[in-house]
Amino acid sequence: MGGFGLGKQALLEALRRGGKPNGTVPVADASRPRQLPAYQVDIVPVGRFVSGAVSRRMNRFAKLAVLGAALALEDAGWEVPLRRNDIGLVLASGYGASKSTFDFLDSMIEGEGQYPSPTLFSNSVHSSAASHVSIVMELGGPCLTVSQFEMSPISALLTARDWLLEDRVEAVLFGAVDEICPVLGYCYDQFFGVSTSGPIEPFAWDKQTAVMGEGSAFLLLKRGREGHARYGYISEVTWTQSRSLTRPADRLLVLGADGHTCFARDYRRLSEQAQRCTAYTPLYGSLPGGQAFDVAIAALATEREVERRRICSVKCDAQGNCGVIECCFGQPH
Amino acid sequence: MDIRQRLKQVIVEDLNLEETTPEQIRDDEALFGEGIGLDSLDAVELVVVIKKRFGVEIKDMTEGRKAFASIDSLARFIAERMPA
Amino acid sequence: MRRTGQSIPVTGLGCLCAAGGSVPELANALLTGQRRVAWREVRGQRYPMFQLEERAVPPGYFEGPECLRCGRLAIAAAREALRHAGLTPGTLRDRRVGVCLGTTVGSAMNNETFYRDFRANRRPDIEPIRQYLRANPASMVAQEFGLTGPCQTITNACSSGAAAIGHAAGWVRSGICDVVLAGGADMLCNVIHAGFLSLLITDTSPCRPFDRNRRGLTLGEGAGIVALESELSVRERQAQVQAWLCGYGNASDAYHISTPEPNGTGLRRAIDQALAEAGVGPQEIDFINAHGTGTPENDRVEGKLFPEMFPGVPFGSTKGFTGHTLGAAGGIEAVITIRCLQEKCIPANLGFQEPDPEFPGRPVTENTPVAGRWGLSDSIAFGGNNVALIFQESSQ
Repeated sequence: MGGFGLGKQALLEALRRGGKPNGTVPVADASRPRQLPAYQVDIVPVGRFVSGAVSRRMNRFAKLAVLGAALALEDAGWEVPLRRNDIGLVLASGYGASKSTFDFLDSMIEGEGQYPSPTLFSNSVHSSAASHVSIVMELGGPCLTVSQFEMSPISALLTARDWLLEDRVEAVLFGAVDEICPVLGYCYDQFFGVSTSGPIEPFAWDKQTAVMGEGSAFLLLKRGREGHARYGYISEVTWTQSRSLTRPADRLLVLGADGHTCFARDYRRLSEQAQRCTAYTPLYGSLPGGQAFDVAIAALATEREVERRRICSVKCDAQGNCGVIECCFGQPH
Repeated sequence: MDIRQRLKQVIVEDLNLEETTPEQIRDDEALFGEGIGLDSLDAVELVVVIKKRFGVEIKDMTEGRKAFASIDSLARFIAERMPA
Repeated sequence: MRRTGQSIPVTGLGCLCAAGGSVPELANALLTGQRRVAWREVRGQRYPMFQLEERAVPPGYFEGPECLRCGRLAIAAAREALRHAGLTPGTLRDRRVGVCLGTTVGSAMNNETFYRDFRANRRPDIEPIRQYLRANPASMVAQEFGLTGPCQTITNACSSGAAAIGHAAGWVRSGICDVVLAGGADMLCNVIHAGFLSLLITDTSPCRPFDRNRRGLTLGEGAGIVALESELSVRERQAQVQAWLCGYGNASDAYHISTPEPNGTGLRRAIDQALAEAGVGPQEIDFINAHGTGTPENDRVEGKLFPEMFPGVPFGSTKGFTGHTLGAAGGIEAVITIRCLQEKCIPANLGFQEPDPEFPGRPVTENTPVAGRWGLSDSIAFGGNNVALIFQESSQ
């Protein structure tokens, strides 16, 4: 889910019609009140999967995770709760539970001389969303929460791949979650000023056009064995250095270019090498966990047999690191 | 509003009991386990809530456990300690 | 559950915490039962802290931005581990080296000053945010030593450091790295302390793991890092193996976001996985480094489970020396476990005086000789993740 809406169909619709920011975030400035565009999740209807008694303690970040996970499992035809100990859970988040941290700070600051809220504290721990997912889904298997800014999804996917290849688990629920908060809005305003009026222009290398995004994207992964995989296969998961990355020319390159000029140099070089390249960030916004959305789109393309050649998702960070996730239609040899 | 009524309202609001109304909570109903079904995290949250809303401090969970038996017991605990 | 069957060499250890600014200092403190506790006052009440001594902190630690301190602790521990392993800049350049670290504070944007100003609409300078974006501990270590392999920061709360080590072994096993610096780093932080205070799980005395009168945890800070290395790399440079990481288990309680599952079924599953991977039975484990935070709930779980799963096996918590270092705990305790294997001795469980009748487990009350073949270290995270690591002595 993201600024495009909720669920697979909403993402497909956005792919057909294009995407744009669907909301705004106020910038805290009493002297000059203004709004910044944003790709926002409207509502998070976890009630389909979780009772009020259980969801009452979840904050929005946790709900984004729980609903994303539940939708992925539902799409796979699995009944929630799973009650299984052989399913792994890996959650990637660039900013982690930042809003939850600020909510806890609010309770600390507002309650000067009193105790801050233990519930807000519990939810501010980065792994709380994964805890909520494991509780709701009754998943007793291994669990990791990874926070590595733009490299969060690739880092988390390396974990997922290892768990599958080592037969630690039968499947992995892999997801990325990021949430907008007022501080993020302030940061965008301070760092980038008026350039963040949107839309995102991923290939305008010299322009700062990033627009805040939030949401969650989850995939259910299994070890590639015989038979047809509905959404295809992930044939490669590589952490490398951007300067040394090359790809075979026949790959459709999906660049994680999201309008931030600080990443532009590496994306530009890659785009100049590729026969075909694209970027889907205008559909969901600029968020560190964005690569998970690109992989989800590659999976959808495979399901619909729109793309039979290999799709290569590339995400770069500001330190010269690069995450490469290659997806293919048929079983890789 | 008497303490019991205020307490029920505060519990529903501050513990985010979405599926319960203050009117549904009986005075003698157990707060934890069976009854309203609060748990250990609610207990420590209630300590903060009672301090904030009533100005009454619960020093630790040994003291809290006795007070938290029911709305009645908690209301009595608060009434005995509320600042004038 | 499949056994992966390939143990991974540990070739270097690095650690700094309240008990010592290096591994030898830490080992000496454990041996001599030395505990250093600082005190902090919060609303008229004094609370103990296991704070790093000033002489033990890395250069520039206090001068630089606070948010970079976790990374600086990690760099210091990594430097010691690399030196211990004999991994020079030249040997590192020839190898694919990754960094996998656990942390809590190191990934949290909890700059109080900035946020207070933001809330009050004072429009604070954005420099703290710039600093936060540079403060990821794993990235800081990678940049310091020019490492270009994968970087991962695990934010699994209290099991992060242990999970990082277990997971890093997978990178070596799968061949994507020749060496991984793995463990955890965390620092004392007002905000985190306030959080644990609000949960009423802190003690006003230094923590008393497994003691009948225990009241809660005592926070600590530091970093613990091990260098995991492929056998090929070890052979090529004829490195000394300190110990073998032979078992890793990771399982979730799926029970509650702040309370451990009382029957320890998640912990039991994690331990069983580690045992299966190591190919050893419970009877072969010589000692257990417990998570033992000193909270009523945590210690009750381990106090019941250990005698059941490992009858007669000595166990103890070392948090009476280090405090609860959150994301660093699993890393520091891995270093301690390996040192215990090497010394064939485990330290007394500081803070324990009176047994708790609620569970049969009794930690060691004095330095206890052990056969030192296999050691188990477990970590139980806030929110229900459980990690178990099994190390085997190196016969070198």
